[in-house]
Amino acid sequence: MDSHSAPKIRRTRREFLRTVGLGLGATALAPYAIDPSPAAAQGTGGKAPRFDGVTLQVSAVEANYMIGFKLFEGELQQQYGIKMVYDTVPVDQLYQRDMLEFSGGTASHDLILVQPGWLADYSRHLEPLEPMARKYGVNLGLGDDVLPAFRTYMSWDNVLLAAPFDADQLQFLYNKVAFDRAENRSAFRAKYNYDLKPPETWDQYREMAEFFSATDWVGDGKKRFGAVESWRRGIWCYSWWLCRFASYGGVYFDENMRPLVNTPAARKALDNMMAMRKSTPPAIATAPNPEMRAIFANGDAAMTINFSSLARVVMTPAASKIVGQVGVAPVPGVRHGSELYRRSSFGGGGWLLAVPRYAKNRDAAFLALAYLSQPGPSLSLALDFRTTVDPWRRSALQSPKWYEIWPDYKDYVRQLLAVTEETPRTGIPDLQIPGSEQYRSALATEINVALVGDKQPQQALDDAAKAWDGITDRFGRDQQNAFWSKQNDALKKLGIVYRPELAGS
Amino acid sequence: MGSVGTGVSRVRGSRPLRPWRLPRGTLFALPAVLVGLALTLYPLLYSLWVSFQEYNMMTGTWRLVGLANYTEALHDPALWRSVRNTLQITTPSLVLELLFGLALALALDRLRFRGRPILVSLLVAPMMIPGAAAAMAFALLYAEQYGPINAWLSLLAGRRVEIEWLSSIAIAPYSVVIVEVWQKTSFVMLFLLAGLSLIPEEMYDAAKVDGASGWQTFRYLMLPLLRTTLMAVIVVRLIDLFKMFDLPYVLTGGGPGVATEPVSMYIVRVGFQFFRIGAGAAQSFLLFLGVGALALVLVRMLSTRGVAR
Repeated sequence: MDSHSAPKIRRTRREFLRTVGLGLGATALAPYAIDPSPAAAQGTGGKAPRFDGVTLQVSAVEANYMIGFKLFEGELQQQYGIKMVYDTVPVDQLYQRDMLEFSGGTASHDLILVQPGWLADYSRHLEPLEPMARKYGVNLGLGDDVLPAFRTYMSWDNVLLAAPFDADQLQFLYNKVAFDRAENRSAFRAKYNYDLKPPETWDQYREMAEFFSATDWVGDGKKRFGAVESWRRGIWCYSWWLCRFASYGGVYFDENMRPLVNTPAARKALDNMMAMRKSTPPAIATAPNPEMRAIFANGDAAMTINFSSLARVVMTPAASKIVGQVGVAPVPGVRHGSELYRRSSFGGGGWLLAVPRYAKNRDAAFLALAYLSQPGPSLSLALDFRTTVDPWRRSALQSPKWYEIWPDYKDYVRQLLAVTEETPRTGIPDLQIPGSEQYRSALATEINVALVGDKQPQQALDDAAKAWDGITDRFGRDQQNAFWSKQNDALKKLGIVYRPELAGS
Repeated sequence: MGSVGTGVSRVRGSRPLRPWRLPRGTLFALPAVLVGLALTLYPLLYSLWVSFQEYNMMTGTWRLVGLANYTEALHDPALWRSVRNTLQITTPSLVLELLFGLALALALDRLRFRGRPILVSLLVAPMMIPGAAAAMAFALLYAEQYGPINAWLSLLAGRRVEIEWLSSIAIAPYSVVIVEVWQKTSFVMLFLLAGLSLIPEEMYDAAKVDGASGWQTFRYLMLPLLRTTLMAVIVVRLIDLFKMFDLPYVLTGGGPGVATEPVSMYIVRVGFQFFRIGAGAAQSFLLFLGVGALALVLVRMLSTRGVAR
């Protein structure tokens, strides 16, 4: 035994000295923080740490995100010697899988994707990023370059725990054939007494959906849907309801933590969705979102509200029959006097990259996270339509590469980039307090139950509010109120306050 | 008791039983029995303990709440709704599986032809497909906009047919029933076919000699002799149906709304989506007690009839 002790101590000392040396070096070099891209590493002559033989287990959630990770396999291996393997899991099972593992103090993945709303629940199981960044002298670049709404998502209790990967937002897309055809324009004008153009308000959106579903808007004798959205139970119906609810002046709770999800704003939002059911596909409240997106991409619906990645998919001939026929605009809002109040939602806020505390290869996972969230890789992810990843950096939206991928549709690119930049300024960030998933799930279930006609709308919303109160009580009203107050303050800074007058009350 | 194992122990039969003097057979079986008991009892006892606790996911701590989870479950309208959903799917599924299974078993028992084994293999094929895979296949078939079933129906009808297989609260539970019946009828058929094969040929001959018609042979000969098998298959299917999870989970996700969310799916939602592990465990125990009581009643009915016969 003794014969083994001495070398062990020597190794430990050597390691200790190396760590101290590295630490001092990193501190000295901190102002010139290393950009973890291969080019930067080569350029500075900085020696990137090697993790040869390390294989990261990546929780990629969906096949499209897996494609995204795979784009950088070669570079990560070259830079750090890191290999990656992936698994996918349906979005609605991810939270429970991760939380079950974390509760047992384990993590089967080194690098995970997390929804911002879950960050509070995940927080004590995630590796804080700043100490890691200091350790490796890495500049994560998560300052002003991150679009406003997504900046609020990365930290919990002032600790940076995650970096954006995909910044979802809901956008309005329309088929220009429907809006430009002279017969449609005159018939619409005659019926509704205003011009046919992308709707500004939710009422106009409903009227246009009714008009298109009753009109042969292509002129080929075939009936098509007025609009298509995705109202499946879960994050989907919740997000599509949320952008209406917020536009009608709603926020999650009042100052005393009383839920506002059964107020007139909530009811107006739900009523608008229910009124649109006859102009939308019958399976809108049950079918998976890809099925709904395909309806628009096949040219079978005049309008859609969907994740911003659809704006790129519909411009891809392999996936769309309406390439070049699409317009993009912000989601509708509510008019109050001369003010047009629009609040899109972020469909769960997209996805963040994080490293579990219990991961086997935390350091390598952190460096992969840092690499993937740099401006270059995050832009490349967004430019590849197969990844369905949306840009979240201001610099990504200013890149000329967008015009290079669609050189013939410069106006469309301009529209798309403008809307993509505007929405994070005006949209309502997701609820981000402990138990957010529970609040969301309870509300989503009630919204979906009402949408399929299984419960009266007001009853469903009242039941949701009751469920929210129950969740608050279980987590502890004082604690939840404190966390909500913090988020409410952040919302106020974005100009989001409860405005009952917008719902006419 | 311990004296019947070996000649040696028989001689020492009157002595007090000591573990090292257990019969050799019992000793050999003991490890397996202990492992079996540990695997069965430990999770049960652990989940029973959990059912009296409330888990705080922010701190990772447990708090004893006594019977609160049970009383809350009994007053939870969503749980009762899921029980109603379960019955709405279970009852027609069970009836149809029994009817079709019995009809197929009778036909296969009476008909003798060269391709019979192949036909039986084909009929049991759906049973071999995992529930989730069957659900995925049917989800594609049922797709309302671009699915083949509506396309075939449209072709037959000569106009666009759009049946809302999975999105109407009135139809969706029965869409689940169709898949369930498609998949599990062969299980019932196999059970009953085995039961029918136990009826001696002489009894059919006797019935024929007595001038019994086909119906009378079925009613007064086959059905009474099949009763035990029928009751057994009902118990097995009932327990299985009450635990139904994978099929609605993949096919409908419990929707539209919660119209096809069976009790097991609701329990998972409470336990792991709401992360109320204690409440979920309490509901599991209530389900366990409910199904257990039902099975007990059926088994008692089975044994009473058996004695009466």
